[in-house]
Amino acid sequence: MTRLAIEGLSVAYGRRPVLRDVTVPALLPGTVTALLGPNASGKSTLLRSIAGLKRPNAGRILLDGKPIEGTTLAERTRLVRYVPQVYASAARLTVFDAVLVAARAAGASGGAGTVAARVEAILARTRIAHLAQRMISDLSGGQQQLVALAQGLVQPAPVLLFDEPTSALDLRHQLEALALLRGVALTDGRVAVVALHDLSLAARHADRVLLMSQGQVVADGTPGEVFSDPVCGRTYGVDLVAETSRRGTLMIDAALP
Amino acid sequence: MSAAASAAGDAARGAGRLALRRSALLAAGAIAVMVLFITDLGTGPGALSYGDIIGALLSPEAASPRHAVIVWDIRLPVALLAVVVGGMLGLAGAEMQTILDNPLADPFTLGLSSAAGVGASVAIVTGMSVLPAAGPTLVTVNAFAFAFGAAMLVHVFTLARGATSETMILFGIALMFTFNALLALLQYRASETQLVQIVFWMMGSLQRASLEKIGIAAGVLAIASLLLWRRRWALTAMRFGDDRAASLGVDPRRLRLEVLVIVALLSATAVSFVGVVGFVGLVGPHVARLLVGEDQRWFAPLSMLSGAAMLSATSIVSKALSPGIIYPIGIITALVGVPFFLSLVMTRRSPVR
Repeated sequence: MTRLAIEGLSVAYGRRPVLRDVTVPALLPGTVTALLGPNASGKSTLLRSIAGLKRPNAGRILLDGKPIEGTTLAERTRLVRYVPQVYASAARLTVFDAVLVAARAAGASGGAGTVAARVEAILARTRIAHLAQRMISDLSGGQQQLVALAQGLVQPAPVLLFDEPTSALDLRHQLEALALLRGVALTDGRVAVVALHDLSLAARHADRVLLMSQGQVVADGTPGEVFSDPVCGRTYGVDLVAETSRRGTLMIDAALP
Repeated sequence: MSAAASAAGDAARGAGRLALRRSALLAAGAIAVMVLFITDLGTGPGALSYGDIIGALLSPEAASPRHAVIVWDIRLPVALLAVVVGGMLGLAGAEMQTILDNPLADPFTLGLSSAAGVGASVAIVTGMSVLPAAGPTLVTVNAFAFAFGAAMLVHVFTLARGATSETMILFGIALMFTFNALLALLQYRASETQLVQIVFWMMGSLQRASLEKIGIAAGVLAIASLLLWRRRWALTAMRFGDDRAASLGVDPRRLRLEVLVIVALLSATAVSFVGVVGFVGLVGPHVARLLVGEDQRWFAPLSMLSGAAMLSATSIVSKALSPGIIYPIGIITALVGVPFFLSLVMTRRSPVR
């Protein structure tokens, strides 16, 4: 069972510190952790550091107690699968080939047939099999985001990191995408960390919430704990009320103070 | 079977059919290059029939000495060099566009042609060579050394500054202006005869072909193709931008620098053998992109084939335009290629699928 832990992580862009001594005790397999916080609070940088795209100035990232800093990018993607924020791509590639490339780029194991079967399975799971022969450049922003999701899931890795995977999706697809991520985390025993802006989505789909502000983790707990903590409203600079809806889900009501 | 599972099965079958159609397209491209090559052999002064040509090719001893000389010493080297150099330019352009993330890039974007021009001019004007023992190959050796050296300068600069496509293009442009100024300076200082030589060299010609050059060019093309083929998935992943490529395990900066060396080798070899031939390296990849998209498994080979076809067609036209005169290919490429290219752009909306 893979656990992900972060110890005293500090990251700077030039001389500007972006993460300051971030420590996160074990994130467990089979769980989804929502990474929340206002813009520029360090969410993306934390994900990029774990994924190996940004070298930390200090601190360690531990997988099962072992630091993973020394790995090459290709090795890292076998441990940690990261899907950055998706901007519209003009790639002249079919959806099938785009997901195939995601499996192959870091050197996928298995013959052509095995990999193609895996691509098919993930297209079905992300419900975009009907788009398989469409060109990426012809897809809508939301459809491209689903392709990115499939690219992130096609190659099995114990840790999954997603940066705002639902930002361009409509309501139904938001729910489907997060339910899928949760399902993958649960059934395949992965550690999933998802940066989100929508607190209600986080409340509904996350087991745990990390709230970041100015490069530090300021709250860590279940959605209920974090959203009822006054620090949450302060962090976003809003008046927050967390209520349970008639269906039993946690609803977040925010207003300007 | 559930709806989702059957859709997934469709996806795989669709991908298989697509691969088949694209393979057919590659085969058609290869046949087109063959046909153009044979036509190129059959074009030129000397009034040879295709029978004469085939006879001279198959049994040079039995053919008349005049036929054997025309075919083996004049037409075959030119026709072969057109195919090989066209393929080099098409492939170099495709990968330059990929690593610079810019469809307007070509093999000479980073100032390579200007640098080659300076190298050739230095040889023509001063007789100085980078290799002491260059002898009659002085101009070629100098052009290669300057073009490859220019690319390595870009390499070193971008290495120091973080190899993004933006810094690479900026350094390339700075270099291009520098070499253009040096080229103008050399032309200004040159005698009239030397000036004519420089201008003709820059216009490009296949007439300097020899079997030795073809062997070198083919070797370089083979090695470059192999090295690029090994990076096909990484290069395709670059189409999603640096960040997404990195998230897929591709180090975009390292790949960019590696591929720059390969592209520089292709372009410098091509420019040193035939002079500056624009258009092929820009449009060859565009033709391929229009037909098969940007999956490197199809894009790279088809860019190579369309470059080869284009330069082969250019060679034919340069000889056929008016009898007895061989026009510089640098002039002909665009004139031949543009109508074909425009017709493709106007009629085709998306790659074969």
